[in-house]
Order: sequence, then structure tokens, then C-alpha cells
Amino acid sequence: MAAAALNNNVFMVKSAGPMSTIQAYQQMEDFWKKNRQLNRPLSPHLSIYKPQLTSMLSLCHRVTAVSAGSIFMFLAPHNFEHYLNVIQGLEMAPAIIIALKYVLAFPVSYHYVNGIRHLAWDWSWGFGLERLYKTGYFALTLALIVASTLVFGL
Amino acid sequence: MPARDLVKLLQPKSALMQLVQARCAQTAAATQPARMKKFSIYRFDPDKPGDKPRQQTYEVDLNQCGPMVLDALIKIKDTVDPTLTFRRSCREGICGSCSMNIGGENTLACLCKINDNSSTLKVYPLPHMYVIKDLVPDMANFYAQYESIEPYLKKKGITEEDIGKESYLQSVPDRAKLDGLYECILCACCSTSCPSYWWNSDKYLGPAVLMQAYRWMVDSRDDYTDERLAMMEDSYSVYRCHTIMNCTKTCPKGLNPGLAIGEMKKLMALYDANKAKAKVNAEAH
Repeated sequence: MAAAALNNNVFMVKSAGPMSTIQAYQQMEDFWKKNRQLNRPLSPHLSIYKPQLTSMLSLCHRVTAVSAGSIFMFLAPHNFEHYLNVIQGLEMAPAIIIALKYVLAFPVSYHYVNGIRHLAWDWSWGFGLERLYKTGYFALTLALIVASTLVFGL
Repeated sequence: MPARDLVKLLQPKSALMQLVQARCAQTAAATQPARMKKFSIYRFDPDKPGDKPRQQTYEVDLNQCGPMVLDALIKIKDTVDPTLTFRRSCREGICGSCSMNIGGENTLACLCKINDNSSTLKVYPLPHMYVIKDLVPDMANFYAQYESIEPYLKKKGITEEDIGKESYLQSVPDRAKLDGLYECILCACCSTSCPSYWWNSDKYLGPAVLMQAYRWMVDSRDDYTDERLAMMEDSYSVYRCHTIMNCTKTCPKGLNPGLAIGEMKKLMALYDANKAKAKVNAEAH
């Protein structure tokens, strides 16, 4: 029975394994069935786990990936000058303008800089805990510097 | 003769003098005012129908208790509430039984020193696991995943009769590749700290199991490296790792599961997947 079910798997290796492997997949199936049937509670996770640099930078990488999509605003129906005039017409306080510029600039700069970190990991470089924290703080700082350059320097 | 009088007779800094001083200090500690510490512990009783998980607060006098969180849990169970349920065995960080979430991070209760401040210490079971009772999660899926990677030496061209006839020797550099991998005690602290594992523990193997999979891939005595790599060829088993690195941050043994997964991904990129699949299929028929 178990062997038949496993034939649908991506690779033959899973069905071709020794008895213990087939038993392992059976045990997994039993695990989910049993726990759902007993209606056991799930222990708390996201709400209780301590926020730390490792997970926060990773979360940031994902969020900035979405918000960095703002660079696609050049696809908007009117040209850039039109929107610039609209925003200037609002006559917002300089502080708000600068904040808005950061909202546009930081996601792009952070995602780019942290992306280099990810490339290094793909070469299995920079996994040690100390190096992980050093490159993490470095990426965050560099991203802020790049964002500031974009906000004030351009 | 009382201990304090003995002190006067002895040379300062002599070994006996220090012993006596230490003894006096202990006697003094017993009469010190209580150092009360609050522990807020996750409770769930499966035998009460419809019971909802809740936090229960206990107070422990740290002068009457050992230094580690496990000491406090045992103290509570012995003197306050015998219904408090948790796993423990070796009390020295080698069995992996007492893994739990303490103060927001996964660790072994026996290796975690009680912080002597006024804040309440929060203790939860390992995150995102089905709870059997109180701090005891159901580990069956984790163990089954470990079994699924075939965590033992596999040789080619060997029959039952050949086993035990000769030892499989290993060079010193080859043996060194296993350092930092074989020490894992499978406490599941890393796997249950990983958000990817929280959301996909049905299909993603998680850092602890992947590190052991890698441990057998790089073992020079094992003949199934390609087949082991081919087992990972789907979008979940290993590729749900997004290098969040909570695993390495939390490991109570100071190991680096994130690095092992990184090295495995590199092997996956460099090996000949088609050849490995052909090998696997040839074996199956």
C-alpha cells in the first residue's frame, strides 16, 4: 500500500528505498492523521519567538522585494514630469517629501545589497554566526547610505 | 570548633582557609532573604475535555534552586505542582530531551542559566508543534523525517556476509569533514526555530535533518552520495531553506546547520543530476 502511494513521488529513489524509508513516509502520514484527529493545539510560534537580526533581515528582504516593485512606476500611463507636477502641486512639508523619498529608495537599495549577501551564501561563504552578524549590520548600514545618496545626492 | 573561629587560626590564602570561607558563604546563603523569580509556563491538559492552552505563573526561590532552567522546572514539579509535564533525562546537554522555547529562543533547559533579574521568564514548548501535554510536543514527524534520509552507512557491492569482515578506513582530512556535523543530538531546537519549517514541516525536511543528510553525503565511506543528492531534487525537501539562519543562531550545541544546507545546495548545483537519476532507476529495476 505504502509503496503504491509512493510511486507518485517525484523521484523513484523514494519508492526504491529500503523498508525503513517506506515506513518513514507511513509514519509521517500517521502523524498528521493522529494529531488532527486528536485536535491537539499547535504551540505558539511567530508571536513568541524573539525578533533577532537573522530573521528580521530575512523578513526585510522579502518585504523590500515587494515594495521595490515601486521602480516599475515608469510603466504608469503618464510621463514622469506629470507626476512630479502633481506631487509638487500638493506642497507637502520637506520632511514628508524626504520620508517619501526614503520609502522609495530604501527597499531598492536594501534588497540589492542584501542580495549580494545571498549570492555569497550560494557559494557557501559567510555562514559563521559572527560573519553572519557582521555582514548583516554592514548590509543594513550600506543600504541606508545608498538610500541617503539617492535621496539627497540626486 | 565553629568554622568562624577556625578562620582566625589559619593562614590567609591557604587552601583550607578558602574551603572554610566557601563553607561559611554557603551557610550564609541559606539564611539570606529569598530571591524570588517568576516563571510563566505554557500549560495544556489533554485529559480535560475542551481545555485551552494557557500560561501559568510559578515563583521559585533561586537560593533554594540549582542554576539552570531545568533545575527550576524540576523544583516546581517536586514542590509546587506535580502535574507540570516536561521531558528531561541527562541534565547535561547530551540527550536533547529538554529542548523548549525559553525567553523567546529555543534551547535546552539544562544548558540555559536562569537570568537573575526581576523579569518573568516565559517558557513554551518548541514552536509550531502539536502539543501532547504542557511542554511535551509530538516529535514523531521529526523522527520520521530523520529516518527518511537513511541516516546510516550504505555500501555498494556488499552482502550480509561481508559485514564486519573489514573496517572501512578513513583519512584524517576525510574524517575532519564530519566534525561539526556528527555532534548533533537531534533536539530539534533548530528545525522548530525555522519559519520555513513552521509553514512546511510536511514537505520541508528542516535544518536538523538536512544537516544529517549532508553528514552522510560527505562521508568518504558512503557509496550513495549521488543517490542521496537525488532524493533532494524537489522544490520542498531542501529548497524551502531561505537562509533565514535562525537555526545556527539557536543551536544549543554551537553547530551550524545553515552552513551544512548551504554546502548541500552547492553540491546539488555541481553534481550530474541526470547521471544520478539514471543510477537510482538502474538500482530500482
